[in-house]
Amino acid sequence: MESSMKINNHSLLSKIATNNGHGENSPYFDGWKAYDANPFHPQHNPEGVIQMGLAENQLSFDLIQKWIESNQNASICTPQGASCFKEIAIFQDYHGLPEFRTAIANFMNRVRGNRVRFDPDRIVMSGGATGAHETLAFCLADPGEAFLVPTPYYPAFDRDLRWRTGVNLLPVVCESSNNFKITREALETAYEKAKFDNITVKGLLVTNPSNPLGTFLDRETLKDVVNFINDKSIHLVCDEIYAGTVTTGDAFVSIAEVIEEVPTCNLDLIHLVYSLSKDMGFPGFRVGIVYSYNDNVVSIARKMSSFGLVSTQTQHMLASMLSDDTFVENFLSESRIRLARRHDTFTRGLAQVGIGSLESNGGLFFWMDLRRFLKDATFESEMAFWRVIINEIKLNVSPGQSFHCSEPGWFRVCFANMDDETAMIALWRIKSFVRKNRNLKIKTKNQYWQNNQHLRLSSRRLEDMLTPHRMSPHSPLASPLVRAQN
Amino acid sequence: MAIEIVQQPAVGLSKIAVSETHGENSPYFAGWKAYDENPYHEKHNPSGVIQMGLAENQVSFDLLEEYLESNQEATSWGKKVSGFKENALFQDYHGLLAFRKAIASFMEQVRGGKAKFSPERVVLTAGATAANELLTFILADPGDALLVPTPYYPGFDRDLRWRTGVEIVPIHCESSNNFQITPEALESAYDHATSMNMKVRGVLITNPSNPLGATIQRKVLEQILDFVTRKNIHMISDEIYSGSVFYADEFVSIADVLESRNYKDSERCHIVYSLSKDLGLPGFRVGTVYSYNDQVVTTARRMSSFTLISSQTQLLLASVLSNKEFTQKYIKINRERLRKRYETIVNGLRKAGIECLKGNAGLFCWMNLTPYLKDATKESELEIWKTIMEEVKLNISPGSSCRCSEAGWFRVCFANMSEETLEVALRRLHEFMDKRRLSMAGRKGERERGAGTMEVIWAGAAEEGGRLIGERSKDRYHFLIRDTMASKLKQFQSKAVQASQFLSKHGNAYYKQLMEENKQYVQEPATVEKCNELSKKLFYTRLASIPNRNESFWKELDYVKNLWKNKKDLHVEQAGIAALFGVECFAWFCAGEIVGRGFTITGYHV
Repeated sequence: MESSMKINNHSLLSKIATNNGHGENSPYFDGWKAYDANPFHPQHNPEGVIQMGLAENQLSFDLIQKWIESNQNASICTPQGASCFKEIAIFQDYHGLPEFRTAIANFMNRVRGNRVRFDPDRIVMSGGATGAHETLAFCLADPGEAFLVPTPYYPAFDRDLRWRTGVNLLPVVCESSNNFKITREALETAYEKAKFDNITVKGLLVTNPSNPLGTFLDRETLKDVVNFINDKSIHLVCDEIYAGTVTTGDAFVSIAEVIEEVPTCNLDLIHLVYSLSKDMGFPGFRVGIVYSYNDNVVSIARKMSSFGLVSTQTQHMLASMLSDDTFVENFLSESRIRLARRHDTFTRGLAQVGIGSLESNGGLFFWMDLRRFLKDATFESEMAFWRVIINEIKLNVSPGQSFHCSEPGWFRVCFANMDDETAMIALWRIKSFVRKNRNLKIKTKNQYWQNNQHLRLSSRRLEDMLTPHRMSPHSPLASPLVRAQN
Repeated sequence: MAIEIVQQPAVGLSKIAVSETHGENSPYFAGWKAYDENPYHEKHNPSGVIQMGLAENQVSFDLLEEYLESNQEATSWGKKVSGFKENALFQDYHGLLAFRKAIASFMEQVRGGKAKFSPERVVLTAGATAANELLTFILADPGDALLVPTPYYPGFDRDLRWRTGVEIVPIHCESSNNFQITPEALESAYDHATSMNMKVRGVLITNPSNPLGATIQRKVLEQILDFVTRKNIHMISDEIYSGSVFYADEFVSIADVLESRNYKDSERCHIVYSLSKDLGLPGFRVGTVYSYNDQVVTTARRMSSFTLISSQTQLLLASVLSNKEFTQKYIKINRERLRKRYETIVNGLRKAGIECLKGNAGLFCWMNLTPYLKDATKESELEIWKTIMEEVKLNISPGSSCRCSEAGWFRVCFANMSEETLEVALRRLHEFMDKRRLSMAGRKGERERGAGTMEVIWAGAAEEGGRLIGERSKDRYHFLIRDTMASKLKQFQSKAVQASQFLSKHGNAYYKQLMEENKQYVQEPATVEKCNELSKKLFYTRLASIPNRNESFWKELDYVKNLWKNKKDLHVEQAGIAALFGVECFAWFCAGEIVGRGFTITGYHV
């Protein structure tokens, strides 16, 4: 990198280039750097940091690999499929391959138990869910206008929706006292605050199932949300990229179902974001989808998709894969079983040492409650403890504050991006830390974390795990206990 | 789904959403629609529209296919179970290192190894579309301006402006110097932008130029680099056609210039590249930003999260491009084939009487139809474009869609079809031009009656007119007549003969209709004498009207007076008539609209 004369970048580059909108200075990314500097490897670096900050789904690749082996014609690089190479390589229509759109719509239907029908003509491609969110933000709001987002939320929304669009995100504060439920009151409060601050609210963004909570919204909450956005006449962007990870399968309710049950809903306000990065585990393929019920938005988002199209090589392969119904059904059910098993392994194991977590049935992570480990209920303490986790337990989990969580002490733990062996090691590290720490802490005055209530909490968790699907995700998770900790 | 029925939703969309900056309502896209509705197919739809508006490279696919066939293992996940998993999960926005290395090395090869590219500076984006937008986001704030030489790729209006809010200020380039970018034009564009209170953030060039199909000379690159340094602004060089230059040594990259300056001031330079054109893989969405500015690299990489390349495609292309033996062979053969195509189309067009700007790169030629325009306006250009689309059934791109400052130029793509289809397209154009000329000549001829006699008159008149104009053309006012008309007049005689022959064969129906429409003008009996008399009437009427006209026409009077002086007696008068008549015939011959010219001689070169 030769350069003889330095020029002043700050006067030469745009505000976007020189501001912090990319969000890479957040603690969320610090953890990644710590992992990158010292990554765990079972043989080569068994003392390294285990990555539990990455919401990746690695549990069912064998199924996909098997499908690929027996469907060689789906690839344009095999003798069976090479005859399509030219046709596919030069295809640059931003509508995407028709068979790809049909297959995606089909897959989206199946993920939602075929209770809804998605129209392939409304499927708009974008570069991952990242690109899909930005596209919608560009379509729906002007710079300075805002979206409401329930907290805690995915940290990169700050980048995806705000950085290049100039749009604001305003938190809808959700609390552990009611399991982070999105209430009408919280929505109204956030909306009123924006009004008071003279900010135009253009929409509400919900992730369902929630990242980082791993919970999904019940039908009533979704109806409340739909009524709210209709009352205010603002857009609803519903991010359902984890829809296929819901371990209770049919229990998941998509916004696509709910709007059919709310006859007064203005469909022009409803937009969905989908992706294959989580449900199929293909983040590398950059398949993001905008699905809007608003014709104008479909048309404009499609024009915008020129900035982030999916490689036709990938479209071609996925069209073939996702239109294979037998494969899709088998994959979805097997994937759910494996995710549930891994989820239970972790949460039960942690419960054994008295660590609770929010009851959840979806996502590739759970929301771990470490409030009792904090010196005090501040975000400084959260960060201090997070550093302990990184440096001593050698796990990269994500602190709640990076998700804009309103209460310190919660951490997102990803569990599907590793093999069973690594998962056991991670669990063992936490358990042994807690046991060691318990002895240390007993010597101190600060013993409140060890009270009986928490033992009850952990046994409660155990019971829940034994009958995993019995409770609604929003059933009160020992709320009095939760309060007792603060 | 009725997306076409635009119903205003209850709550507004963004300004970006309702703006027209996506540019899809431009004529550029109208042509595409015409093609989509009725696409040519040699068997199934031989009279369909041939797509010549799409800069796609299909001439070298066999090489890629051959490579894939002999390298099965390398280009897919192989037999290893982990291969697929690892690849599908790969989401690092740096991209696969092997792929970045391969791209950097390919870029070096395309540039003849003169400049070096570091994989560390290669930022991946989903196509050049995203690369250009991304750079604009990084280099300019909303309301700021980028200077772009005209004519330019129509998509820039969307890519650089739509979501960024940045403005494009044109650097006007003209045919008189083959559309070269001059320091004066740069200054003038800069001043124009400043006068409109815009902050100029950079100059964006395409080298080789789309739509000109020509590379930019080193001297010009040096001038631009000096200019951006003086103004302390950026330079973006879009070099997506660099591997499509017909002769490797005719391309100078900005990287070469920076190299020779020892990378002084390189931080203001950014290169955009893509595999859509040179490798013909637009579907794979492979674009890159190569910046010499560290902060731009870092920011661009972060921003590329919105527009990454499928890891599957990265893996495939890493394999293809890291095989140097293959890439060298590909680059060489691809250049040769494109050159051959280019020669085919340029020669074919020349035979049809159409000239092109001299090109040396790209997947298109820049066709000059200015002599055939009714007048030098955008409307006339679009009129002839519409005719070509509707009658000749070719979708080409009008220069106005590329913001060309002169009317009458068209971009014609030649690499997105088979040689056979290209021949069909050329044949169609040839026939169209012939018919157009002949129907014009035919109308004139029939009005004068007596096709046989006309041959003689035309021949003599054209010869005499051509001679006179040739003489007169030493005068600087008339260089255009000399250049564009006198030479044409030389060919006139044989064409006129052809015209008469054609007419006597095919002209009947047309003739009848024409005569019915214009019978009030017909003089009986239509002897040669009568025709001469009418010509004289026209000539003197024109002379008589001159003093009453505005100042510009004094030049014309001057011209006629001169003719008068230099010639003697009746012979001069006849020669004058002949000159007028010859030029007029030529106008009919080319544009078919004498009335549109207002019957002026000077009008011919407005």
